[in-house]
Formats: sequence, structure tokens, C-alpha cells
Amino acid sequence: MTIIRLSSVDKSYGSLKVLHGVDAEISEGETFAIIGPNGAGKTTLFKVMTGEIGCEAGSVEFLGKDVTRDPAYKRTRAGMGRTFQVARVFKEMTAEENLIVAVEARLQNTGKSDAPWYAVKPSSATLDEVHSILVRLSLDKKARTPASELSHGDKKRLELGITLAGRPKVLMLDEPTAGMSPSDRVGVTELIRDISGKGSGLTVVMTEHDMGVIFGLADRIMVMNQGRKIAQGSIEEIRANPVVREVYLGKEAHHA
Amino acid sequence: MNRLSTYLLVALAAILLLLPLWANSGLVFLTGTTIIVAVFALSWNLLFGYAGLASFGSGGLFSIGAYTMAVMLRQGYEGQFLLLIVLATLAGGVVAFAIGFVALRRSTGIFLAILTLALAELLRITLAKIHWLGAEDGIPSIVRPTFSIGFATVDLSRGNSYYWFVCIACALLVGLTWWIAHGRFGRTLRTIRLDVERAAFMGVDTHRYRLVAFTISGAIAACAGALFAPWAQIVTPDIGNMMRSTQPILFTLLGGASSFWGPLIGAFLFSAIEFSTRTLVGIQEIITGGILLAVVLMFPTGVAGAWNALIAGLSARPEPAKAAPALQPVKE
Amino acid sequence: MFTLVNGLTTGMAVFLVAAGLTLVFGIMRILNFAHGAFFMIGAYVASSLVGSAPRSVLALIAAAVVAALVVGVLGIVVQRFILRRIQHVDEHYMLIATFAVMLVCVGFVKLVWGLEFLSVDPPPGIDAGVEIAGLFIPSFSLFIIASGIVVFLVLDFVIHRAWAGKMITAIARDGWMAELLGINVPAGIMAAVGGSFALAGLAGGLLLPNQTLSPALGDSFLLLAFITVVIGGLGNVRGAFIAAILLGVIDGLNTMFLPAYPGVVVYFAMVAFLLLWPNGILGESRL
Repeated sequence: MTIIRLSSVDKSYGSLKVLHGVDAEISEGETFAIIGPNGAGKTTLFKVMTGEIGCEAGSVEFLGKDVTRDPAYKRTRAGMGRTFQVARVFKEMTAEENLIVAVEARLQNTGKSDAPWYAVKPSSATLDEVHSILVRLSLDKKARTPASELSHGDKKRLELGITLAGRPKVLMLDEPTAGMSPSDRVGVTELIRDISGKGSGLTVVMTEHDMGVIFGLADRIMVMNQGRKIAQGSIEEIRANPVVREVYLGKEAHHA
Repeated sequence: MNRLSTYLLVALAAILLLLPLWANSGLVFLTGTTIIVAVFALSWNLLFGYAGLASFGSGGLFSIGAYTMAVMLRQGYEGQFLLLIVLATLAGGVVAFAIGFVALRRSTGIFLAILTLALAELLRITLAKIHWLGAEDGIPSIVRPTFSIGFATVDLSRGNSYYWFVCIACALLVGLTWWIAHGRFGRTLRTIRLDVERAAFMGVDTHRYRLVAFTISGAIAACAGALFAPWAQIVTPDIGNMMRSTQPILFTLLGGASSFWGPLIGAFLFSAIEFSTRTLVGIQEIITGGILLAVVLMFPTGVAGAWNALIAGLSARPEPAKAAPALQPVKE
Repeated sequence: MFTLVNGLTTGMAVFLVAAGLTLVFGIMRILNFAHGAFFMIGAYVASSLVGSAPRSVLALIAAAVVAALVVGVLGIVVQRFILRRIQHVDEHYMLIATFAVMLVCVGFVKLVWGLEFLSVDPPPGIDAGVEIAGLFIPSFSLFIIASGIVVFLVLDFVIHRAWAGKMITAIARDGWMAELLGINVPAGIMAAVGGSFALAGLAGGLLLPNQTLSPALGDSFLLLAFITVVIGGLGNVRGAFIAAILLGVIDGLNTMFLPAYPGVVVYFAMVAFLLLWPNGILGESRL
């Protein structure tokens, strides 16, 4: 079943057109990667999907509903969870507080808030859920650390935790390993594989530069160049595609 | 909050309550005014420190509360004093909601600052032209009311009884604000100040939260204004002038915006400075401005932040005291 | 017609104050609350020089130029020690720091010049009026309008045509790149900020006659100048010029049709402008 469908999306910044009629269909449960050289329009496409920015033409469908005009918070409530290229966590709050607000936001949005209206402290069910997320991210030792003092990799983990606390149907990851050390990169790749593994039913959409990460995770790949989709398919198909080889993998292959 | 801070707070409350027993009436008046504007500052910081919105026109809402109270008392409704406070609070809330509804969707940051400044100034100029409200002279000789609460009659016109009434009312308002700021609503608001986009991507309707915060903040500001009218016993259009609007900003910054108690600390420090320099024309502004500059340049976390850092340093934890984050030096 | 002249006078007076404000924003991205206070210091300095009855128009202009120099130097000091440090702080803290500077300035004025109100008459030559097409127009109004237009033309030329303006524009757009091209960025910023402050001092001197000098003088112009700058588009001198004329004319019409409520309509207009064009009529500009 198609979970996200983009139909001929156009987007310009001023006079600069960055997306030219991009189509894409993402199926439920798959891990879908968007790749392309710098300036290809990956991040813009990503932002159009999540509702961070609008588009001039075309439409975005999520779970069979047209969400083109919906703001980000509505798409999030419908089940789209995202992370940012540079991890965005609430820096003045501790790791634990970061997750508390995320869990509470979800409970509030789904109308399942279990704390009485006069309560100041979060409910014990909320705290339990927060704790289990912390353990899963191996951040339980740093629960009381202000987020601003966490390492780069830990911030990325925490941000993933905030997103997971929303129990999304689709996980949108914008360069999940950008700027990471090789060991952190392996750790986060493992974590994503663990979260989105078969049986979880979780769909993952990601942009990424690191080919190792993509080949380790993606079921299907879409290649973009100069604001256009130039190819789409499985890893093998993309590897064999001559156009892709020419604009992108050809250069990358020398490094590999 | 740590134990030492709690003791200090209790001690301060005790001093405030017992003040009229030994201080002269001038000092009591100043203290009462400080208590009211401290609550006013607290309402402003609910917006700034929690929702990340800076209004430079909060004096207008203070003024609305004060005028509502003054007019109703003049019309002879002093018997329903408690109801009048509620009415003034609602008036502030309704006006704040209307402004927020139109303005918040389009403007934040500098634009919101200028817009609210202009609106407050518009209100002030208009008030100065309405003869029914006393034009530029305002409404003088406001009574401190006597009213009945069923089983007893409360007479606030005698001695220091209105001072204690202000103390109790403000304590309740502080409690209410504390509850709003520390519950789930306040936690969500904080995420909006820290990163509005990230908050939206948790499914938070950030616009709606900000509008609610704007409304609550306006209602509390008007409530403070309503308490102020019988305290000062006169209201003039200048009650909501630019200086009034900047008062909570100064208090909050001096005390520390990231701390709930910051605005209160700032209000009392500020009044103390003003009181001790009241005879020195010109020096007063220079000292006030100088202190403010020093705070912004050296302790952006305010007095409360510096205090917390100090406490953290004194406590037995092995970590070294965290200095307040210094401002980024400019690379040139 | 009379309304128009009155409106233009108000507009140009506001523009004289707003010009420096918008320039400082264009260069440093700082909305300077203290601008009104520097304007006031300029007025006080000029009044100390010319006394309560200036001898000639030239004496007034000379006093204004000296006031501009004094305030310009003050501005460089403030830039060096304060503005430079707060440039990268949250914009709310910027506003508050400049507000603190304003307090210090007001205190300083009270210390030096006291609390009494001072007033200065227009110098001979522009103290009467002229008749144009059967209308009596105070020549001091014409003097202000002319000053405003001259200042605007000079500024516009410097910013858009002269080499100095191009250099400053380069710095404001991309300081790093400008440095790479060998421009002395700190010196450039300092000169530009000094110039912007000098404009405030100049305005103080030029607008001196018919003004009641008191330590509250800064406030009355500050808000109008703020609004002008925001409506015109922050950092945009041409926008500020147009917005100032617009506000002036609106204020003039206000006095004519609603004489009982002076100054009210202009605020309504302001609020409407802010809501309709939050980025200003000509858009925000880095000079």
C-alpha cells in the first residue's frame, strides 16, 4: 500500500526553480532513500513532504489523504515523524524532559492524556514510557544531563527518541548520520535498522550522503539531480543504471 | 528549587506581610506597588520565558485592568469588588485574545514588539482624549472598597488592610502562574520558545499555544492593573505608557528570564535600587541602565541564573560550578 | 495644501530621526532603542552652542553639525563597547541592551542639563513665514522639509552610487567575503555606525527650534521613527523616506478632519501597515 504519494511537485526559491515536477510513491513498511549530489533538491523535497515548506504546484498525499495544504503539526499528528540534519533537541531541558514533552504532546494530540487537569508532574505511565525509550537509545545513564551537554551522537539519538515518542507511521530522517564519526555512524545505522526492522511496520524515508549507510538500510532508492528525479529502484538497479553512474555513483565509486 | 532558595522565599514573604507593622507609609506604598508590578512582570515572562514572545505593549493591558476597575468603582459597584477583579481580568483576556488572534499569525520578534508598542501607545493617546474617563487627568480619588463576603464584611479602606489584600491576591496570582508554568501546558510552551519548529514537529499546534499564552498573560496583566487602581487611588493614561510596558522587561531580564522567580527577584532588586537612588537626579537612570547593561553583557541568565550557578557550585556535587554562558564574542 | 505642508514637515522631521535608525539596523541588524536618546543629546548639545535665540540660519546649521560630530563619536564608543558584543545575541536581548543605553543617556542628560524645559527660537531668516499662492507657510517648515530632502538625497547617493556606500553594502551583506576582498571590515562598520549616529545628532540640531527640550524628548520621536523604519522595511532608507512622508500626510489629514483627536489616526495607520505588510512596503534590506 502506498503511504506517501508525491505528484508532480514544483518548488522555487524566488526565481530559482529547485524542484521540477517530482513524482514519488513510497510503500508502507519499506525504507526509502533519496540521494543525489549537493543541490539536487533532496532536502527541499524532504521539506515539502513534511510540510516545513509549501510547493507551487503538485500534491502530497499521506495515507490516502491530500495533505498539501496541511501545516507540519497536522502531518505530524497524522503519523509523520521527522528528524533534522543538525539534531534539534530542546537544549535547556534534560534528556528526560525532552522525551517527557514529546510523549505528552502525543498523548494530548490523540486525546489520551492520562494526567488529571490540575497535575503538575507528568503521569507515571508517561515516565515509564520515557524510561523505556531512554533504555532503547542507551541514554538512560544520561537522563538528567542537559541536552546541550550531550555529545553529537547522543543528541542525534535523543532527537530520534523525541520523534519515536510520537509513535509515527513514517519516520522521516534528514541525513541521520551527517557529521558523525565512523563509530557513531555504525551505531546509529544499527539503531535505525533495529527500529524499522521487519515486523515493526515502520516506513522510513531518508536522505543521506553516506553510501555505506544507504546500502545498509535502503530497500529502494530514488536518485535526484538538478531538481529532477533521474532514477528509482532497488540498490542493484540503481547501481546498474548508466545515467546514475554518470552523474553520481560514477564519481562515488572511486572512493568506495 | 533547592532548600536555601525556598527558605529565602519564605523569609521574604514574612517580611512583606509584617512590613506595615514597622515601616513608614511611604515604604509600604512603594512595597505594595512593587508587589503588584512584580506579578505584572511575572505575567509578561509567561509570554517571554515560556512562549518566546516579547510584547512591548503589556502596559496597555495593565491600563485596561486599572481603568475597568476605576470606572466600575466610580459607578458605585464597590460591593462587588471581587467580581470586579474577575471582570477586569476577563477584559484584559478578551483584548489580548483579539490582538493575539490578528497579530500572532503574522508577526513575531521585532514586529510583534513594535506592533504591541504601537497598540499600547494608541490606547494611551485615546484614553487621554475621552472626557468620560477624565481625559489626561484620569480618574482621581478611587475608593478602596468595603464589601461583604457572606459571613463577614471586608473593609479595605482602613489602615493597611488593602496592603494585606494586595499581598494575598498577588500570592494567589503567583501560585496560579506557577501552576500554569510548571504543568504540561508550561512544559509545552517552553518547547515552543526553545525551538518552535521542532515543537510543531511533535504535533504541537504552536500558534494556538502562543495565542492561549498571550491571552492568559494579558488577563493576569489586567488583573494586576485592577489591583493597582485602588492602591494608587488614581489612574491616568500614563499608567500604560512606554515605561510601564518596559518595566516587566527590565525586571525579567535583571532577575533572569529562564527562571520562574526571575521577574519577582528583578522587581524587588529594581525597586531597592530606585529607592536608594531616589534623591540623585540622573544618577538613578545611569545606575539602572548600567546594571542592566552589565546583566545583558555578562550574566544573560540574570540574577536567578547566577544564583543557581552559585548554588550548584556550593552543593556537594563533584562537578565544577557552571558559569553562566558568556555571550558569543564577535568575530571580526 | 496647508495640511500637506504640515504633514510634510512632520514627515521630514521623523525621517531625519529615522534615517540613522534604519542605517544602524541595515549595518548591524540591531534595532536601536537608544536612537531617540542620541537625538536628544544632539538637540541639547546644539542648544548649548546657540543659546535660546540663534543668531542666524548658518549658526543653527553649524551647531547641528557639531552636534552630529559629538553624537557620532559617542556612537562609535557605544558601538565599540556595547553594540558589537550584542550583535549575535537573541534579538530580544539586543532590544534590552539598547534600552539600557537609552536609560544611561537620559540620566546623563539630566545630570548635565538638568530637568528644566529649554526652548529655542528659530533663527532670523526662517522665523517668519512666506506667502505661496495666497497661503501663509512658516519658513521654518520649509527649512525642515528642505533638510529632510537634502539628507535623503545625500544618503541615497552615498549608499547607491558612491564607493563608500558600496563598501558598506558589501560588509553588511557578507562581512566575511568583504574581509577576503581586503576591506577593513571593523573600520568600515565603525565609520558607518558613527555616521548613522551622527545623523541622529544632526537631526537633533536641525529640529531644535520650536521644540521643547526635556529629558523626555527622545521618547516622542523614537516611537514614530520606529514605526517609520518598520513600515519602510528595516534597513531600507528609501522605504523610510516614503513611509515618513506617508505618515506625515496621514497625520496632517488627521489634524484637519479630526482635530479633537490629534495623533490617533497615525497609530491606526501604523497598526494596519504592520499587519498588512509585516516586512515593510519596500521590503527588508541590508542597506
